[in-house]
Amino acid sequence: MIGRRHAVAAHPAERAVGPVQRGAINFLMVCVLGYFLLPLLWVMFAATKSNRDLFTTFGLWFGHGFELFGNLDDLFARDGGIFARWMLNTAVYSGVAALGTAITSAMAGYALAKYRFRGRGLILAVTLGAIMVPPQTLVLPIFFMLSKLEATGSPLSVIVPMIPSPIGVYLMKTYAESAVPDELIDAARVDGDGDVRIFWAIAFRLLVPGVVTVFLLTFVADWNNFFLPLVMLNDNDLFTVGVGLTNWSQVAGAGLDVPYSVVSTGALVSIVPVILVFAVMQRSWQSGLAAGGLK
Amino acid sequence: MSNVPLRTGLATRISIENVSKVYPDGTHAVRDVSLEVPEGQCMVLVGPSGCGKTTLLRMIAGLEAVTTGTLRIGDRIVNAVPPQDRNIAMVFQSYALYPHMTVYDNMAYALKRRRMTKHEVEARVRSTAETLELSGVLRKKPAALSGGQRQRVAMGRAIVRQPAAFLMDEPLSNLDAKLRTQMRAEIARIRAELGITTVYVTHDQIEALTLGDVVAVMDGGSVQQVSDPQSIYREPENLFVASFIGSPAMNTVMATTEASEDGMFVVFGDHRLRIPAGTLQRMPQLHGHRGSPVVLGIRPEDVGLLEGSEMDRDGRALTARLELSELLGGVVDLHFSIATQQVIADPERRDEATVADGDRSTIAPRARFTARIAAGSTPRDWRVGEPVDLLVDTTALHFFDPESGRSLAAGYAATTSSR
Repeated sequence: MIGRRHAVAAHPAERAVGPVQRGAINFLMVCVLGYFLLPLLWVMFAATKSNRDLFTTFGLWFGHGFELFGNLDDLFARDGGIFARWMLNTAVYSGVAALGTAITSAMAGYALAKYRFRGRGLILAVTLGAIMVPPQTLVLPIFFMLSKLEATGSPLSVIVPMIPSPIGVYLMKTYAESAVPDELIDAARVDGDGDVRIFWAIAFRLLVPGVVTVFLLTFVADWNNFFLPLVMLNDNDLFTVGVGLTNWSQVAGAGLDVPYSVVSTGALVSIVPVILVFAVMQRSWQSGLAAGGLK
Repeated sequence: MSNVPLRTGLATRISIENVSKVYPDGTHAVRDVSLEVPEGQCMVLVGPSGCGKTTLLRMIAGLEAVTTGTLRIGDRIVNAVPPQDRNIAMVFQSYALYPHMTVYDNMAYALKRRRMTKHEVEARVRSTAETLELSGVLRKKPAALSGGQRQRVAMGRAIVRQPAAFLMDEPLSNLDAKLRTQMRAEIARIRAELGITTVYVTHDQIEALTLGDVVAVMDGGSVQQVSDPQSIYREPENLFVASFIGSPAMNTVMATTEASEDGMFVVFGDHRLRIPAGTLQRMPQLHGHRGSPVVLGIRPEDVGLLEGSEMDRDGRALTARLELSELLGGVVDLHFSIATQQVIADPERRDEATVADGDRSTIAPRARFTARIAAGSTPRDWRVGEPVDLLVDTTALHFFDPESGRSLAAGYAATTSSR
């Protein structure tokens, strides 16, 4: 309950495996690794090439010159530095939305885990059912509703629809059940706290690893969300990096102003923040997963 | 010991009148319980798991709603008062310490919520910590403490508030046996020092008898008996109390009474004990049971060895074949099997029985019979199967009605209603 540390399971005993078997297994794993890594490698090499080399040299190796810095200069200078603006937009939209998702999921999950009220079973069933609905199917209905309210085209029209997360609520419900003991809530109540204060002063602190997990998962999903901002936004200055790069890519496809080399450099730069956020929050994320699974 | 007085003189009486608890699913957890905890006294609620003792405590705390009945703390009816406004402090079985706070913050938490000055809070926490020998760990978090220390922090969190009453829910059950004995004495000491009204829930009869000024034995949601510890042990009002309190449990066997020219006897299996005149006087109802079955209760402590040729062994002795002996240091428990039916009223032991009889008690075809005797200075070599001559203290026999399970001791009704 308090301070219980979970020992990581010991490594399974190394079993005797013949060299042929071992080689076969390793080969298979290298194949799978390659399957996932090759596109990433392609993007990394593409970012170092001139537009000409991009189409004339082998995709998984360097071109004739190392043009990464030139491409970066071009990327951030083009259209009056709009790319940096797109990056910032995406960071704000997905950061705010993921924070909103994490907090509302924590509140809803805690309520479902710790309170017995009328309609709880129904809410739980609807939440579980909603997990199965692909978010894309809701984009157009939300767009039509918001356009009736003349609320499309703003950052909020992208952020707010991204906040509700049935899977986040369900994850937090499961996490709260094990992470917040009932007696702790009783103790706080006897100590003089009301429900709201019990949540913020006691329960939320214990839910933090779960909150971080939900934040990270939804941050990545929101960062990569393409369809919603595509439908909602029409102002170039408010675009997300995904929508902006797609526009550029279409322009490049038409043989116009933007070279493909800049688009592929932009694609590489656009995944850097996600990797950074993961690296920074990795510790709490892992502990959250472990605690949720083992308690 | 401490520079700030912890004693407050705020002790309050708690009265429970006809309180019942029915859960939405229809479970009747507490049935029509009436209890009065006098100012400054410690009432222990004891019973097997599921007897309703914790539910009752949680109702006093305000953590469960009262279905029917009236609950008073002091003169105030608190049925609808939320826990934070009842001025009670609770110690939980799991301690329920706030894991992200230091020991100091755990103890100060409720005080800070009461708009107390920082200085006041600090003075109180420090003096309480001193009483409980926690001064050295105030900056540590609960995870860094030993089980005993956590238990003391949980106590400290309650004491520091100077509440009108303490509610304790099995506070010692997470400790190992040695620490439990130590903390039991500690709780008794602190309670005596503070004089705060306490309701203490436990399933451990030793805790009940040692800590309680008043003991309420519960089973099946209702109170079976309320008395001082001595009376609970010496004068159990029914079979359940008789078999639940006492370790090893009281021997309870089916018997019949018969009268002859030299007095009244109780007969069970091949054994025959004379009922002393004093006992007959206390239990006039025994005459009514003449020739019909009664439940005979003999505490293992009231059975000794028959040494040599004692004068009036007639009517007090019985011989049985030894099945097992257990040496427990100063005493030896001798287990026998007797050819009569055993009555088992304690639900935790019911599964040992083979024949069910109603819901109150269960009858087993052969009776286990235990005697607890002093080991003596020269250890005897007990052989399984050998006949042992035993001497029963017949003045301490208990008799119960086999139908209702009630004690045949006169005045049992009076003691029940006096509480």
